[in-house]
Amino acid sequence: MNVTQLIIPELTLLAAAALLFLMGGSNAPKTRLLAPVVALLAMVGALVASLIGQRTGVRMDDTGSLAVTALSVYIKSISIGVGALFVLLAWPTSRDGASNRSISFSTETSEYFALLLLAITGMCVVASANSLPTLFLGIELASIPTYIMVTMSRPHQQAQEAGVKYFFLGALSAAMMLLGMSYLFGVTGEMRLDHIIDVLRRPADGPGIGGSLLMLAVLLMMMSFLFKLAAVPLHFYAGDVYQGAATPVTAAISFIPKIAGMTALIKLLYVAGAGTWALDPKLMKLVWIIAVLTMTVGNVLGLLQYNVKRVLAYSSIAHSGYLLVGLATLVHVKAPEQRGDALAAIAFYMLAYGVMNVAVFGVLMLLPAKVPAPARTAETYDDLAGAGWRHPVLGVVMALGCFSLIGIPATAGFFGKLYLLKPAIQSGNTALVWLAVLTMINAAISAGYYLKIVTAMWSKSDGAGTEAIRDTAHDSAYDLGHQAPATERSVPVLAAIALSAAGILAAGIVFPLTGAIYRAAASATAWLADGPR
Amino acid sequence: MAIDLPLAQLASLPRAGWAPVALMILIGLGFAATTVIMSTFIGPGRTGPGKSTPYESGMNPIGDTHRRFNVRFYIVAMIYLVFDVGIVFLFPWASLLAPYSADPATHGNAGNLLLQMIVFVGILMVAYGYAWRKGVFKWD
Repeated sequence: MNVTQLIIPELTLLAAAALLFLMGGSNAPKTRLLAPVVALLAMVGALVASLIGQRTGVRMDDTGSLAVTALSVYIKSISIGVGALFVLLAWPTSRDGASNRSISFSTETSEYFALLLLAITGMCVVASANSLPTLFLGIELASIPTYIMVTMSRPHQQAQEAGVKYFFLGALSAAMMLLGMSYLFGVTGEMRLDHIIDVLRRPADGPGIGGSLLMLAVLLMMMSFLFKLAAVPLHFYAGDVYQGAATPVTAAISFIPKIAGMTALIKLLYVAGAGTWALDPKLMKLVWIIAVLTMTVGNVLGLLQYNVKRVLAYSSIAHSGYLLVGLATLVHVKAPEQRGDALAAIAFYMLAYGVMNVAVFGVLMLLPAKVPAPARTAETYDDLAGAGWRHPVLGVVMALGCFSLIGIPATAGFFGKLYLLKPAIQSGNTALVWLAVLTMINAAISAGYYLKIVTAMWSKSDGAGTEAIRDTAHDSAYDLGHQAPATERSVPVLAAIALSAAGILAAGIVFPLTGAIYRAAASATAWLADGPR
Repeated sequence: MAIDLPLAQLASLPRAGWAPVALMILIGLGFAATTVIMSTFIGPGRTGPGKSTPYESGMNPIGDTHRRFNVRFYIVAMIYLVFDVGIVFLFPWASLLAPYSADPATHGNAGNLLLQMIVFVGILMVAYGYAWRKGVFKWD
């Protein structure tokens, strides 16, 4: 099949990104105000193209470097869908199109949206990658724009530091991935994932082909993908980077690299298990350990933070842990049906997580900071204190988002965790039942800091100890034109918040909808669970 | 189907298969060690201000190396990459296109190949145009 037919969504996004870069050459405020419209239209176009292009079976291009499967269509659709919400979050609301409440684009509004589109394109490429080079290019295309987005989002040292840290560590992880890929290629002599599976399945070589070399290859690549997920022990950058970036960018970087990394990780383990998930027991144990460590460390460190963006950084680490719980279940269970359940749960959780994050970060970026430097929008518990009484709608949505992130019933997050734990408990495998127990304990720990956010927002006090500072800072905070507390000027952000809040509630209360999303996730991943195609 | 790669073969061979590699490493180390040791013994070992300058018999160094460079140099170097990457792909593509379109079996696909390169060069041109608009080539 001709490659062009397979990458219409990617080409749409790419064309729009190119157009936005050309628009970036102009300095007119009108062009800047037009940029998010172009980005949003491209997202909608790509989403439609991706959904229309849905067919059963695997479609490959002539060289076999891309394979569009039901999973690719699902991942593409959720990444473009949530990506459209990121466009809304970053929508410039100042009259000159140079900033909104949280982001300062200066003159680079069009470029920001171009980079966002490129990152989403990268996720789409990862979703349909079928060869090692394509997978690498996809991951890097999803990552490199995010480094720039972090740096350009705020004219502050913290943002520069965050961007540079993120860039160097990301480059290191890219090197790890390439080294691992070179070993995988060396051991099997193949670049295409389906051919690698064929080689690993050949009886003469057996699953033990290359033995330790294969293991080395898988470990190195896993390390790089786990870095994208910010899994423990590769999580150190998360706190600084999430705090340094402007809030809409933090929302984007808590989703884009994570989904790309998780998709790549599933593909890698599928390939390493020769398409039958027959993995080395050591590898299975490793995934289990990393899952437990990631959620526990994320949640415990989350309790210790004062800056809410750091809290959410550690929360995102913990959620990577929950995704890895699904992965650990996937590699441990023996029955294909349970494997299907685990895969569907991961796919469902990815979407739920993206939507919950948009709600929480959206609220955070609309609330003003009490001390306007370095962050203009709310970052600390003090900034949030009493905000629920001043902005009741935002307070309710924040509570909803936090409840969903904990996994309290009647929210999308509850079903996310339920689906993740169901196959683990049903399997009857001791390790998995323990994993489920640990996940539940972790959900309880996480309630510690999520509820702290909610109680801060609805506290009667106005942020103890900051009164004096606030009084001096108050005037200057509201004198800046683009920082007026008028929420109606942030209509796109409010739309994103409303959409995500509706999504959280609908997926938590309207059970047929939840079931439909879950079935979509299940049918997208079914072919992976069956083993040999 | 599989390209039989040296590494895949070597991994399955007995250790004797690595002998050439080991020999190469030994020769490499031996050569380096010999030259260093020999030069300490045979070399005249003169010292002096002229001898310790960075370019012993070339330019006279002016000032410190830790100077600030204009940021333009970096940007121009990055723009150079646009063309650099372009030629890396253009050359193999150009050398493949002629036999590709001459062969009746693949002739029908040659237009597709051309289209792909047009898209690729188009993207590079976007980068170039962007840099131009942003004033990268203004030198004063």
